[in-house]
Amino acid sequence: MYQQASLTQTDNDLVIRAQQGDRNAFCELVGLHRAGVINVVYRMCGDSQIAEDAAQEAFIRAWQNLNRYKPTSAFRNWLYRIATNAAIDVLRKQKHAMDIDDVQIASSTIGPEGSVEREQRAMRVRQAILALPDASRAVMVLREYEDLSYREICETLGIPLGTVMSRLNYARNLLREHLAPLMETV
Amino acid sequence: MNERVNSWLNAYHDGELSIRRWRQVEQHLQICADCKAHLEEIQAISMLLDDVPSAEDLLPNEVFVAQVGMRLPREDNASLWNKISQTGWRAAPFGLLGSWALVQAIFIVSNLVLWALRIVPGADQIMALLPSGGSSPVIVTGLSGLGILRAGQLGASLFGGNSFLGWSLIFNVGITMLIGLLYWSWLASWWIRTNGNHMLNGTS
Repeated sequence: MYQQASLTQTDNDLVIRAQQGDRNAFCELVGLHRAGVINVVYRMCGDSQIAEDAAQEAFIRAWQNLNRYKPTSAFRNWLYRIATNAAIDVLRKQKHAMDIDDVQIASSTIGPEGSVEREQRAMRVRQAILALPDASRAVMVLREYEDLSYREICETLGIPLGTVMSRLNYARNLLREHLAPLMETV
Repeated sequence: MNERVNSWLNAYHDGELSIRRWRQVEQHLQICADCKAHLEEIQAISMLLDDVPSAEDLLPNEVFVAQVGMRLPREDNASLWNKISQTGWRAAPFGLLGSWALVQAIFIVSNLVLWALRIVPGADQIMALLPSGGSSPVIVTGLSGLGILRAGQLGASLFGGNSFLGWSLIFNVGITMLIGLLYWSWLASWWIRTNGNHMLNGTS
């Protein structure tokens, strides 16, 4: 909690400097939030290379719109909103990222021998995540992978609390349908 | 299965319920096998999601930051000009309002001055210095031109030969109409911009 509070304070200082045109301050923000942004984008699109490209795009959009950021919500949440939109845009442009064969190739090169079963399971989960509608996937990713509270998801995506809950419910129901055979093994 | 409690299971799993509801769910789970099974499915999905490895680190942090830094667009003269024109566009209604207020002030002050000149003893000598009619707004407002002259003559004939009243009213109404027209044009372009953006974003 203390770490999060001090990070927010650091964010605020850096954001103020960046809003005054300090590029170095913005680069520091990039360094602080790179991992989180890449993680959000990766979970949204399922490909590490695309995730890095989309994350860079998200940071550039953030720089261009920095004057629109109001410190009423956490900078991280504002950044995640841009990141999810960037991921959706990149996915629309590069439809091959959704191709199941591509996902199989990507995952088959990751794991060492002996973890094939685990890799295949991860691949099926990744495919199920990618099959979710964009809006539900964004809510699910922020909740499951970034551990954001419902309130923070509201702020991040600019949607009401009820919508967050219904989208999360919808996403989990769809995942339950797609992953029913795997759930027996958990 | 209690539908109401069932709808709270996601929030229960995520630790988002109030203490009172959390207790209600806890008690219900003791007696309802269906809701318990549903909760276990939600937990199983979370475990499956946790099993998916995170993104590979293709670029070291410093390289990533440097690449983003190089791609950040610089503020060039064009974008500076854009900023200035944007600010000017936003300030346009205030400018129009200010112009209208200025015209009204001139109208009122000039009428007052003229009225004072007519009632003050010895003002005849000053009035004699003014051109024929003694009250041309050309002097009062500093404006001139054949169009205004003709409009003033027309206004004077409408107001029983009172040249000043005709002049200033025609002038005042004309400027007010022009400012009104400019304001409505600005409002229309603002509406088109706003609604155009909404249409592009697909929001209502």
